[in-house]
Amino acid sequence: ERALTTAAGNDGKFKVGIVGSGPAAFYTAKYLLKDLEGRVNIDMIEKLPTPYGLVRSGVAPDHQDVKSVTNDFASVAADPAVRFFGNVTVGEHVSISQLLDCYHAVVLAYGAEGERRLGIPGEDLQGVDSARDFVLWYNGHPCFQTSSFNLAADTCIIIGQGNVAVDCARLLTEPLDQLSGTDITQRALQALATSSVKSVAMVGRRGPVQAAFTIKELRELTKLPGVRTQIWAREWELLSDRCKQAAEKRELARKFKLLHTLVTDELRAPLAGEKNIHLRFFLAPKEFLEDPGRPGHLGAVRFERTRLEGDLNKSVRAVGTGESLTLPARWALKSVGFKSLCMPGVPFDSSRAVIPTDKGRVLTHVPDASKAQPAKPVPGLYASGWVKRGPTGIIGSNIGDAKETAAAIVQDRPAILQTHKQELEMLLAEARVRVVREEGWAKIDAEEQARGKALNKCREKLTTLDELLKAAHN
Amino acid sequence: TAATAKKEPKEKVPLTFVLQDGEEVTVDANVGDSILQVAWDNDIELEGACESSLACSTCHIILPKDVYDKLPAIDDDEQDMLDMALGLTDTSRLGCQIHVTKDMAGIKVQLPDEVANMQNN
Ligand SMILES: Cc1cc2nc3c(=O)[nH]c(=O)nc-3n(C[C@H](O)[C@H](O)[C@H](O)COP(=O)(O)OP(=O)(O)OC[C@H]3O[C@@H](n4cnc5c(N)ncnc54)[C@H](O)[C@@H]3O)c2cc1C
Ligand code: FES
Repeated sequence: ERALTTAAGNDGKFKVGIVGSGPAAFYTAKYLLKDLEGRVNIDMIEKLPTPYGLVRSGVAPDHQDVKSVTNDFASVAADPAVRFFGNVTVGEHVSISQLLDCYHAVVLAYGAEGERRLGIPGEDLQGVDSARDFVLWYNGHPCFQTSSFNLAADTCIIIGQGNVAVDCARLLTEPLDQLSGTDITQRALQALATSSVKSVAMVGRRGPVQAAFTIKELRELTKLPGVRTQIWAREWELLSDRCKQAAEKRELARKFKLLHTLVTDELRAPLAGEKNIHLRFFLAPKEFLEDPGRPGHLGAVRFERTRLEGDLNKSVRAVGTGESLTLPARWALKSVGFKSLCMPGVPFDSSRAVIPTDKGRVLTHVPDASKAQPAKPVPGLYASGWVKRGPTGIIGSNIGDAKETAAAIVQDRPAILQTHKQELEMLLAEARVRVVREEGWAKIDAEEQARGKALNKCREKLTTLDELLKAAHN
Repeated sequence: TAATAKKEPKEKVPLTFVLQDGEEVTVDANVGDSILQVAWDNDIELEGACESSLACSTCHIILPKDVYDKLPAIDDDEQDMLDMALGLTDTSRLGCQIHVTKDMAGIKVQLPDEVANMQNN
């Protein structure tokens, strides 16, 4: 009985289980190791057989320098206090309450795998796809390899103007040699080689001042060889003086200036051998229209012209003006945002699609002044990364976030008295899960690099669960 | 000559890092090394997620104004990355792009507080 009330686990170590293995998981682990050196054991429990989350399956293949962060993550994983349990889906193979029996602290860092919906007619037409699916496809995510995309279209309309939309626009227009040596899948590379897409329109419901892409990603578009990136003067002129003033703020001024250099009197069709990216503004998507000649297939997208209302700094809204505009296209990618999913047994703020937290501690419910019950921390439960903050920002944005969560855990540690009653390994054996441990991932990694080498690429990913598990257990 | 230059230990200057909590740590920095490298060599908590390839902004540092003003002007690529950093100031730079020079002896390099900046965002 006494053993059950010591402040640490059976071997005297504080045990932390982290759900997910993306940047949020790795940075949280990194700062926990730093603060509790020698006194902590960390398990990462990951749905896929492979670690690194969206750094592997989201970050674009032509951004290998961004992916260098995996070297840092690999050195965290190499710490003897850290174990990897891949191919384990929390909520399916093990529940949160089981994990709370295994660990003193459980950190939810499972990202944002859901998608926001557009909710307009025609979304089911052939040729209307989600940018998320496209990204996960070209990056070889094993759950998204059976999708096919209408690369035979000459125009692609991308709805949304975040960095994910920019990634898609760039992948569809850049010269193939910028992709061929990367870890893009061979399947995607070959499909892009036969692509007919010449023109990409990236459409936003608000104006250039509100566009979510960052200046670095925008500048990259303006520098693509053989690609002309344009903004139509008539749409630029819809900018109000208020917007122009807002654009003078330091963070926006440089982006706004760069956008201004792209303004052109007429949006031209691409010349021979050239491709175009058109940044379109003040257009709200209203309906995907069927191609009259090809029932069930996309033929055009109808938009409504908008103007902005509300406080420019905070709650600016695009409201319809009644004017309609139809852009013909046989392919559309919806890029309107990722969204975290609710995990059974974990409080969830469905209006913001995040877990309610206070400094990284999961709260019993969304704090609300009118509620009789004040929101309290759920003992032992923490969150980090996109599932805590929402799906925005860059990899670096997860650092402050993870530091905060790690600090909360370190602070709460003396008060966390229960010892663990369960072992994850036993639970997984009972559930007959084919776990991929660190050696398994090392084998996958070696196999992928070897396959890549044979193709003059830095990596050729294994893209089915079968292949991944075979390589891991080889 | 080249041969004697090789044997000579690298020239060092003292540099002080001001950590998030205000603590000051003074280290000996090799002239020519990047500030990021100096931080890493001395266990100062400065990330460098992209390994100096100008693709992250996790090596954000804040320099004293007089030091900032003396540096060669920042180029678009560095400024583009820096624009994404939390807690940007008028004298912010990326630590992987700034190399230690002799006349930096004794300067204070401030590390931005990501946690506080995140909460203000
Ligand atoms: C398309 C795209 C491109 C991007 N490009 C860049 C870029 O160029 N530069 C940049 O700085 N940032 C980029 N980002 C942002 C960056 O990827 C995110 O900030 C970061 O990945 C978020 O980290 P996370 O750990 O919260 O989530 P994720 O990286 O999504 O990690 C979550 C992990 O949890 C796992 N998981 C999910 N559910 C479960 C479950 N039930 N059980 C167990 N495990 C589970 C997932 O498989 C995944 O491995 C990009 C994002 C996207 C979507
Ligand atoms: S280390 Fe990435 S920009 Fe400096």
